[in-house]
Amino acid sequence: MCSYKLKLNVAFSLIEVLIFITILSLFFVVAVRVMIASLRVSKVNEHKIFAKHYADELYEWLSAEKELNWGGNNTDTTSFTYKASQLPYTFCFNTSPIAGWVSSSTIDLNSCPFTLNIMYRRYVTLTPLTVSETDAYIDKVNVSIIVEWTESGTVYRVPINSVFSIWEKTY
Amino acid sequence: MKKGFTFIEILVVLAVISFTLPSLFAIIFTILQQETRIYALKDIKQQGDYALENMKFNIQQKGIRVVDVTYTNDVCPILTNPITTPIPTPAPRINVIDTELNTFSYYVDLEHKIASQSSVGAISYLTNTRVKIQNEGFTCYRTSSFSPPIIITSFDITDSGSIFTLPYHFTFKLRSY
Repeated sequence: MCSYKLKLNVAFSLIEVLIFITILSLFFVVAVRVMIASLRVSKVNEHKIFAKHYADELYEWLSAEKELNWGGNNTDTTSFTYKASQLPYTFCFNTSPIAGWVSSSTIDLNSCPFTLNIMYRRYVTLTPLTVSETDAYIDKVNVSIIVEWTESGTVYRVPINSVFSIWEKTY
Repeated sequence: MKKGFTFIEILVVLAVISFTLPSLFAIIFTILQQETRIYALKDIKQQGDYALENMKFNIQQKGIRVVDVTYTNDVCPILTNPITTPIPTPAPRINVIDTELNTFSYYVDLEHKIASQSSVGAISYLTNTRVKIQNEGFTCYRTSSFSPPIIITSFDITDSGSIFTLPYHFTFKLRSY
């Protein structure tokens, strides 16, 4: 009779149940947070691959412009070095595929909105360099391509920096 | 003797499990789906970049002429002003003669892969069946009779699930001309 009563009274106390529920809920909260963080990083990586592609696309386009018509002495207004000499040397390329040079370089980056594929903006800063002391021929151009986008309040960017140079002057 | 769980207890446990497990599985499934998307995107980017670099390097460094299928006639017309004059319509194949007077060509085969064919007929593929090449086109022009051909190439690369498409456009001048 006594043992029957004891068995009836065997159960979890409120504290035990509360501790169990707390541990379980903590586990779930941590697991969900880790999963959400993983998803976010994964999404950023996806966008980074697209950004890299856009940066590569502009690099290829600029390489072609450089190769087809370097210029150097700025007499040809369609040449690469003439475009690179337009102050302040920053150009916004928010179309893909690239249709051509934008009409003028931008002063304020706010005039280069995040409209490329809805979320990116792509711009290049060209800095002409004259190596020769005897004439103003442009031998080198520093190229700094940046593709930016904002995600969860953070600005991400993919840069490509390069120097375009010419070995033989063409007058 | 009353042993075991009550009906209410089992019901509560089942309710908790049926609420938490689907949520967990949904999140895990979303993560796996996202990983698959990234893998597909990385794959098309990698294969597109490789195809671009391979074609650009071989044609630019080794090519001296761009010719028709008989490998005799030049196909790049002279355009004194390519801005005002329309550039020739892109063709699905490019045939090139190299510095050692061997021939090679690039085209997209029926399985939508970029293929490279040498003069002896050996075919190698720059992309595999996990991706699909579409809207490919090769065209060229010269600015004068003595200037090197300028090649314009483009293609779109899509993954097998048609989730992502990356466009590739590149222009270059033959260096061994």
